[in-house]
Amino acid sequence: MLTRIIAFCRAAWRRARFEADMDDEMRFHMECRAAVLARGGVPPEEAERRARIEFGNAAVYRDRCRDSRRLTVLDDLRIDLRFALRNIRKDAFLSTAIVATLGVGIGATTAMFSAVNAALLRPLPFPDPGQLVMVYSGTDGPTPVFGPDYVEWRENCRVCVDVAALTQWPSTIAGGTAPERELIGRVTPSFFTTLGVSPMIGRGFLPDEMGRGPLGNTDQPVEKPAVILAASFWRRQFGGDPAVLGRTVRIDGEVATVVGVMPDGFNFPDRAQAWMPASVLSTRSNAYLHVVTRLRRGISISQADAEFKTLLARLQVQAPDERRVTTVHLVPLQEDLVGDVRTSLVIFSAAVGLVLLIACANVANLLLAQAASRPREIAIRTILGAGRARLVRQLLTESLVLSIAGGISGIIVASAILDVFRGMVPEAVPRLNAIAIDGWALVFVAVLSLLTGLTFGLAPAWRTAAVNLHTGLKSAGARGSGGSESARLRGLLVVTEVALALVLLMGAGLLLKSFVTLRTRPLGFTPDRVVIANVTLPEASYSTAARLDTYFREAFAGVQSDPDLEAAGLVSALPLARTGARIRGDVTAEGEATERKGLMVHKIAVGGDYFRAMGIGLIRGRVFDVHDDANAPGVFVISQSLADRLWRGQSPLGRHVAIWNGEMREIVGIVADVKQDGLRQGAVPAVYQPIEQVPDRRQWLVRDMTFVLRPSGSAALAVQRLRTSLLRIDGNVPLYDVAPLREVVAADAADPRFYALLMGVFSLIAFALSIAGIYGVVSYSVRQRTHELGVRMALGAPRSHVVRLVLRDGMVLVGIGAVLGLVASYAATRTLSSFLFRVGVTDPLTFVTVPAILCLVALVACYVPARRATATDPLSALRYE
Amino acid sequence: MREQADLLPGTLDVLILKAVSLGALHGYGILLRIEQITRGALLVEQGALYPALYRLEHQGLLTSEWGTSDNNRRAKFYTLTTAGAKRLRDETDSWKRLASAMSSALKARPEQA
Repeated sequence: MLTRIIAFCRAAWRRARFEADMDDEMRFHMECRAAVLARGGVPPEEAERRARIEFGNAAVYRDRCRDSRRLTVLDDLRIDLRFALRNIRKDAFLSTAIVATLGVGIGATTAMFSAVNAALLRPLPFPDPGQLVMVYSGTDGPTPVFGPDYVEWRENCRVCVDVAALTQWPSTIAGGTAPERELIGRVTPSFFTTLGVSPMIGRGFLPDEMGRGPLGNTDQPVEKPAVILAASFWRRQFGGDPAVLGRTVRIDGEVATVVGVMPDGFNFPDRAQAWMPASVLSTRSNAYLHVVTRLRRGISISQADAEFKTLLARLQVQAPDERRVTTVHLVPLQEDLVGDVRTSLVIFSAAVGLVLLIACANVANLLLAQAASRPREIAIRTILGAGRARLVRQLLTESLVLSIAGGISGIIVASAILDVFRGMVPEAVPRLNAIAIDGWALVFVAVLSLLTGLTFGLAPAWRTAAVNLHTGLKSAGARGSGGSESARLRGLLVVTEVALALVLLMGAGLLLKSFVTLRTRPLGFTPDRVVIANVTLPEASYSTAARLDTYFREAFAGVQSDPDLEAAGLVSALPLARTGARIRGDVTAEGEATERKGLMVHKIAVGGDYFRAMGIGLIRGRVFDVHDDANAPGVFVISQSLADRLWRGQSPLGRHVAIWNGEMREIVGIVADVKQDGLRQGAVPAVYQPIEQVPDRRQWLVRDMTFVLRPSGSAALAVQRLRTSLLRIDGNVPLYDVAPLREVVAADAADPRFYALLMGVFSLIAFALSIAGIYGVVSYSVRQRTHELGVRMALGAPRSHVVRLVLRDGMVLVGIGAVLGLVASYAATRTLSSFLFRVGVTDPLTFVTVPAILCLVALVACYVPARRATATDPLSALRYE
Repeated sequence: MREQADLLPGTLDVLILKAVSLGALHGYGILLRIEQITRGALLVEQGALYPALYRLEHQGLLTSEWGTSDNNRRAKFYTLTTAGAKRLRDETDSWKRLASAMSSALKARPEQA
């Protein structure tokens, strides 16, 4: 086998040499023969002639020699290619349509593949990533674990190479070019070794560099605060200077020494820009640690699971503790990072696959139409000796050339899609910011192009090559017979297209309805024109409530004089955002001994003119004013739903409630309910209190605050004035995450919007393709029946009758497709259930409207050619032959 | 002119292998030797020799080399490979079996039936 391949290659590469040698060898033969004949007395010229005759047809033998070396395959390919290109150029419009259709189909599929590849297939940038596993407490679903649990696991796990604990939250880092608010990973010293990634410069953490706990617990005193920077942060803030080692930065006002810089691309978890040592509490009071472990080679998840089970049981016997984690939930790190994105990627991959199938069906349809016009050509080729296999091969070459052109345009389409995609990917989707068309995507395109070429090319090629010689030659060439089998095949393709497109449209319809439902829910506030900006006051320099109060008072003094500002407020937990201290807890009503069971309220601190700035409607009573300060009697404003829950039907004004088991305070106002946690959530009762009245021991509640500005003029100017005024008060406190409030609201619906948009785009492409398919089939059949329709009209059939005749043909196909599509949708849409908000997977409105629209547009697509059929003069139609 | 018989399919390959087994030959030489060893009884179409030679070479039964002929001209000489020699032995055996079977079959008389 190998020798044959080598011989073939050698022959192919030295084709010229091969030909020359072969000629020479045969000429030598004839010369020898001529010489023998000449010696026998034949005159030289006659001898040469006879030698040639005796040799036989040299051209045929040469061809057979080439054949024996498999050289004809290359020759055929070259001929097929040349022929294909000629045909493609001949029908430039059709070819362009095919390449464009394929480009869209392949492009969309490739873009989706790149996303799937980035999120699911590409291994994590850690050595041996398959052995990295997240360990969650599995008692109430996967949740973080207590410090002592982590310590026990690290000391006792026999199947683990190492175990690390981590958590993260944003902090202000100052000390580089400008203070920045960034996510900082709080990790144990074993973090980097467990992941198997070492700092690019400097070192990792030492065991004695453990830091403070996340809630201010100082379980272990900070000896030497250390920080390790991400490469991106290091370049941005320190210009990539290696001398950064040993320098100090301030993290939330706390001084820390830079001991290392991680390599580029390492931002685990999420988008961490720096890492500090996490403290591991020695009590089981707060479960906040995420635990990652590297399993020993050859240990599977199920083995590790079993090991953990016995380990936990043993520990419980040795040192019983009712709060110890008793069941664990192991998740491969890759899966953990991708999370529930997997489902959406799988669904959208399926959707895009359908789009590609529809594109293929459409192209097959176009090719069949084209093929119908060439039976004469095929018949002639058959007579000249081309076998069916040879013809199929030649026709397939044509479709492969088209599909490769389609693949190339698909790459262009895919990179355009990805450009748009990158800007829209919801933040919650990890690892997708790095999607790009890489080598794998190119391989994917190549394979896809070949497969599509075969898919859409094989049926038409097989059909076309089986031409009936008699009718084929008789047909005029320009107008073919097509044949009923071909018509059936085309009809089948259209039915498939309509059915598939309907499934996609239905999915898009459901997602769109869900998104609209979500976005049209009443917010409880009016986000128009409002801008928000965040500020965080570090504990180091703002340790007392008095200092915080002073800061905010000065801040408001700076902006309240701004004539362009309608209202300015301050809030500890901005609705629909993730910033600040978002606390829900008990509430105790006046005259009741204990807190109300099952009633959780938001505890929100507000300052300035918050309610007016947000546009939260006051229902009864009053909102806070400047007199409600630390020295005034404590007051609350509560939300409508809390008023209803506590004293249904009675006025709560003047009554008292307590939160955090604190003192009873008077309710002075009732405001409208606000979507605090998310658009999907219902009304959650809320208690508002003035920031000045937040007790000293709860001052962490007002450390992360959001300014809410409702400008009457330019928003940018208002923010600029606020920024300047704040920097005058404290230059180390940056204003961050400045954004229009509308964006905050939109961000909460970003995922549904993204999914609806994606499915919408896919389904519209599918819709357009299938409508084009219907249009193509109907106009083709009209052209086929011009003569027949002419006869009908000449015999007096009214135009409307002819139109109905044509419409019926097309709409039968559409109808069958729509019914099949409905059945398929019924089965397919349930995969969307987790993406839908207050919309059933078989939402009746969608299941009626979408097919109706599809049929209506299809009707128009059929009507246009039908109308054209009747517009022709019956006489010329009769002559048309 | 002596009576000539058409070649049975497949026999040309064996004849070529046999001819070449007697010593390296160029194409025309092979033709002459086949004529010689079959005593001119078999009809070989001259040009048909070459596709067969190329095929055998492709199958690795023959190798070729450019050399100089008796009349000092560049010519391609074929030699038998080990695989070719083995194939020739196999083919010879099966031919012998076939020939004896055929001849005994054709000699059969009615009483033997």
